[in-house]
Amino acid sequence: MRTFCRLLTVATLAAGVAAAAPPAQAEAVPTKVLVRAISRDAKVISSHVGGARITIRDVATGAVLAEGIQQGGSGDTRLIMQEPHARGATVYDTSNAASYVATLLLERPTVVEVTAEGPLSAPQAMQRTSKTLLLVPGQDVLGEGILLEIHGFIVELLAPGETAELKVGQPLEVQATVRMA
Amino acid sequence: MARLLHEGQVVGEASLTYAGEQSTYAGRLALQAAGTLVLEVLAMDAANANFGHVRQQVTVEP
Repeated sequence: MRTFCRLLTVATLAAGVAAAAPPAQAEAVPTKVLVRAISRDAKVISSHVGGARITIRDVATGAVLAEGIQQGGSGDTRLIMQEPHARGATVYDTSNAASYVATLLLERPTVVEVTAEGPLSAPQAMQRTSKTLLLVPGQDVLGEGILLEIHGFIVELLAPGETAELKVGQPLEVQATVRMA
Repeated sequence: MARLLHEGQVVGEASLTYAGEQSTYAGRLALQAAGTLVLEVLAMDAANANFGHVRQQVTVEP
């Protein structure tokens, strides 16, 4: 009887200790995430216009999980601008098309905010866009990736020059370029 | 579209048309008063919510 009571006490203590113990350390799983900033009604934001700054934040903590610059080409003009886009078809994930890839160490399903800011070489045209989504450890997001659409045109003045001498009564000749980001 | 602004008010306006080179547009504004003005060029495509602009200060002598 005494032996049974001792065993019972030990078992109870063990159960108590087990209940109070912290949960096992969650394992951080490398998870690849591809982000692609694109221009509204145009192509991928390329290095030619400075690329785009990409930031991935943990929504719950605000911590920056990854940050970098999207670099590469503007993508396939025919696929992006001319062909009809069928569901599931590859449009942006072509050779040399710009993107940013991060490897996040995720311990649990995590809601992130992904932000793109660009085009970085045209401050007068720079815009920012973002979206939130849930990422799951080990579930890589590649291919077309997370698409972020940036609106606007890049307008650059060719004439008059900054040192042009202008006089009342004379016409002011204006010339500018307008490009999609 | 090109506009001239004086103290935030539009004092001149003209459309820019295709200038024969890719992505390039040109037009002409009348300079009616001396002073320091701001030249603004606006590009607009409301259907796609795409807009862009650039501004430059210009000095017009009498």
